[in-house]
Amino acid sequence: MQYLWDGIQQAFLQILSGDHEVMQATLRTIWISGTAVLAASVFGIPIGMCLARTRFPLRHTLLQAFRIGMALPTVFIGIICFAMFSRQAPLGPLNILYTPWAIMVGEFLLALPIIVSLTQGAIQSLDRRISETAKILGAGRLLRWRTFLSEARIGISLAILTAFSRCVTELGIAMMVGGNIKDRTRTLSTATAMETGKGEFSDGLAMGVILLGIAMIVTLTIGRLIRDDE
Amino acid sequence: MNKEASPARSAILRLSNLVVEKKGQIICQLKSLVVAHGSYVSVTGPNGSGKSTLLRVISGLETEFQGQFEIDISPRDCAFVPQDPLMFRGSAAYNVEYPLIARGMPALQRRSQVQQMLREFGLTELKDKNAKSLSGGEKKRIAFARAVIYEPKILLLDEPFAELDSIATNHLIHYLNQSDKTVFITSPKLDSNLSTSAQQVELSSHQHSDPADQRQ
Repeated sequence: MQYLWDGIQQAFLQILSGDHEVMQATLRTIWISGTAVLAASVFGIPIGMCLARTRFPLRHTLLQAFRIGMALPTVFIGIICFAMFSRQAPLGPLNILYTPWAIMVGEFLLALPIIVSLTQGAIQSLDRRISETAKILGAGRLLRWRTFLSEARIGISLAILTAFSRCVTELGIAMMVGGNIKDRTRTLSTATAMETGKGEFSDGLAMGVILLGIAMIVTLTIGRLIRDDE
Repeated sequence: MNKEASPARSAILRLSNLVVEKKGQIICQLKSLVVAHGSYVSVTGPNGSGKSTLLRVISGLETEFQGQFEIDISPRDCAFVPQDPLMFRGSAAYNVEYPLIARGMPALQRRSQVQQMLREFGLTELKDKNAKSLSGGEKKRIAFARAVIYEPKILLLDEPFAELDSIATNHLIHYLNQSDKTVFITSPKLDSNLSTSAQQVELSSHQHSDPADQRQ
């Protein structure tokens, strides 16, 4: 129990003292996960809306594939990315293995199925009358889709939040394709694993507390936005 | 209501042998209907006789039916106010503005038109309220303002007087009396608000059209 208390105290000390390594890892984690989730949202929200509102061959198969993708272990995504980016692999010439970009691609693949599936669910469960009312009032395709986005905003916000939480806390991808290199690819989760592995339990716990803090701030901010909107 | 159907005016809508079926059950059936421009049509019938379905067919929302149906206007010139109208997220004013946004009207012109419409229907005090939290009657009045703001040629009103107080009912009747639109109004029985000179369409309840039943 003393370890836990020490870890919490250590976390606050490191944050308040602006510990260089901790701040770097924190900012890198937010930057990598934020960019990956932003990119996944740009692609995932329209894909989710298409899957919810249109009918085409293989739609059901695609939907199932994205749903299965939600359960993919991060280590598995890490292995796939490693196989894609290693020197002899098809994307080897990009030379991004063991850089933050490789982690970003992996986290994009982690976030995309979550955003697609949850957006599809949010749009699909909207009141059928929304589409009919927009249509009868003369809304074209673009305005109709804007209306769906607006009506499903809570579900879509939760999809983005879930994806961000998953990316910020994931370890498998960051370890496999990032390599936990100091000042280059070290993230909060890899730093937590490393410190704990070294026996520096309170340092590891401090990183974990910062991770928890990020997750709480994001959750509370989105919760506040949703409540204000209601 | 003192509008009258005039046979001299050209037809805006022709319909014959209309049958709408859902899961083997007829939900709306009408032998023939010809409606002239600017006339007023009262659609009556018991619950489940297909009054709302008839309005959905005319509005273009119901596309699966048998029979002939011709309408002399674009679907964008048709306004439909259902029994339980849906409000979009946003203020009451945004909901009234929505059809004008859909028609690409400039923002300044839109706002002035919305103000005018809200004033006309006595809805100014509701303009900034969250549309989803309005009462049933208020939603209906906003839905009506939203339907007429773009000057449709046909107005389809599904039980419009239900949930309206006497002031709102008078507002609506006053508006309909002054307008030159073709108006369809449904109600379970002939409404005392309505003129006896209106064109009457009476729908009756239907029987199952299950093939097994027909063989017997």
